[in-house]
Amino acid sequence: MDTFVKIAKSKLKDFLQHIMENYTLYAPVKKKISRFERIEDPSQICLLPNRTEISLKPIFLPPKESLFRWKKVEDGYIIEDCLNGKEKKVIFGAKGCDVASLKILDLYMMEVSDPYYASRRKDTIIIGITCEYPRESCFCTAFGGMIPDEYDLWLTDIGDYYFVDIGSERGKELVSMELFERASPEDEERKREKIERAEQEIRKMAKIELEEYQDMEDKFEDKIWEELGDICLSCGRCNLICPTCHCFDVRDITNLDGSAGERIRVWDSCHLFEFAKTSAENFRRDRRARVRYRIYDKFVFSVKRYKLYACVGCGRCIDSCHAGIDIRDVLRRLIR
Amino acid sequence: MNIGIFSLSCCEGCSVEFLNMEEEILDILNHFGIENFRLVKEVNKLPVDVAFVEGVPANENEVAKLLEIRRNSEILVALGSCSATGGVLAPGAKPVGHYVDVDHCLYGCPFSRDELKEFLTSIIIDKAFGKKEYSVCMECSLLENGCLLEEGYLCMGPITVAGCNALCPSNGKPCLGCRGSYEDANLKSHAKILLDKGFSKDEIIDAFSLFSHRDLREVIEWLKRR
Repeated sequence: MDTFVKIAKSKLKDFLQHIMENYTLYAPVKKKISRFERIEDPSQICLLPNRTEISLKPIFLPPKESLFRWKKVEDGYIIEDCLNGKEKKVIFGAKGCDVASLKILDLYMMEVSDPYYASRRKDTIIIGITCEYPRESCFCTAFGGMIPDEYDLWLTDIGDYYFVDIGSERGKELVSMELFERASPEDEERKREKIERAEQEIRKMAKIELEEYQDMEDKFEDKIWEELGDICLSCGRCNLICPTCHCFDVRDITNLDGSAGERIRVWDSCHLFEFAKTSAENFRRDRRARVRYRIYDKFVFSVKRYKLYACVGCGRCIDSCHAGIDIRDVLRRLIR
Repeated sequence: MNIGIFSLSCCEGCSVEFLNMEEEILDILNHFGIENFRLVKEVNKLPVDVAFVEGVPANENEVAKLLEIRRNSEILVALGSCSATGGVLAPGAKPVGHYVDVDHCLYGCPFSRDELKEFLTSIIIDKAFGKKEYSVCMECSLLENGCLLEEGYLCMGPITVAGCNALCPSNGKPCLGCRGSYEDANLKSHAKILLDKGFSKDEIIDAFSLFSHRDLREVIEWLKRR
């Protein structure tokens, strides 16, 4: 596959306009907080130098969503499925950490073939872009770096142009337009340097290198859990902001006598007291056990199940923790 | 089934909030008769199936009135924060639960309409109803509001029991903690975090004192000793 193409920055708007004629476009927008939104006009898009505050997760797994509605009628119930129609999506301007997180989310959500997630996720085209400079909390280099394994197109700013890597057949179709030009080996060199420089920057700050599947199981009784349990507020923000956390609670919202209502699912958090509460007992009453569970779920259980770490190093949980719990510090202590 | 709404010493804002439920009240009346509601009825009776009690007893007469309500009701619900935790009247006044057995609490100043409806539904269809064991912070994050604590406001969201759907933070005002804390709340850690963020001891004590129910008093004492 000829993967050496580029697009002039001045032509990007035309390219996006073309995409919008055939697809629903989602791209970063900066309002009070930066996040991905459905784009009506390319001028709304705000290409940020690093990741958005909210990840791609809500596009595919919204914080609250209806599963079905019911209504009692004379001879039974009418049940209306809320499975949404398929939308041909293009995600433009996603950073490496967020694109990598989709692969992990897919594993968890598709294992049981969640139809609500799948209908949103299926056939989504990903056009990613290299980070200009990382945030202080970034540590994606611990999990393979800034460029994910899977994408359709990948853009890197090389001055007046974006260098475009092609990662799939669908991506190849998109760059067949006249807007794209053949790139030179110098362009490719510039791209490579740019990525290396940014990754070097992250490595310097993150100071963390995970070997493939490091064994952390013997740290189950480490005193770190007591320390973290003392300061954690169990507010759940780290879970909700995490691009790979996917647990949800199912609730019924009804009218007064339950004759009509809807079943919804809402993001849940393993830090909450009731998360592991069953009719028999609560498996993780202690805050210490809940803090530990989140780390183990990302770095031990996921390895057993899928042979990967369920973390992409976006650092959002670090930025959002009121108590200042830094997952990088935790990892450094665990792999010591 | 019939219900009664009773007022002890308080601002009677919860009674008013009950009447404010213009969209819901007709539906509620389809299922419940109102036997006792001093604010709107001339003739008020006991017993009732469900007694909603707002406010706290401030004298012997009110304690006697509360005991009479308890004797004459199947289910007694503490309506609003004063009744449930002492609210703004604590620590001087004791919550209703100090004097009689309380079956359920509806927290908030005033109570949350959605939670009241949830409670009424639980009675009609015999479904469990209980206190939420997580924070306003969680509800606020679900709405993707952005964080007032991060912006530099003294927000009590992380230790305040959920159920209001983060009403205040969603409208740009930090949580005052009117609903009280939940059992699992890490009160001391929140106070420490606020100190680290640069709030003065007095500011934090003020915030913890506004709705200073029993659990918060401990932290206030701890802060004073520091």
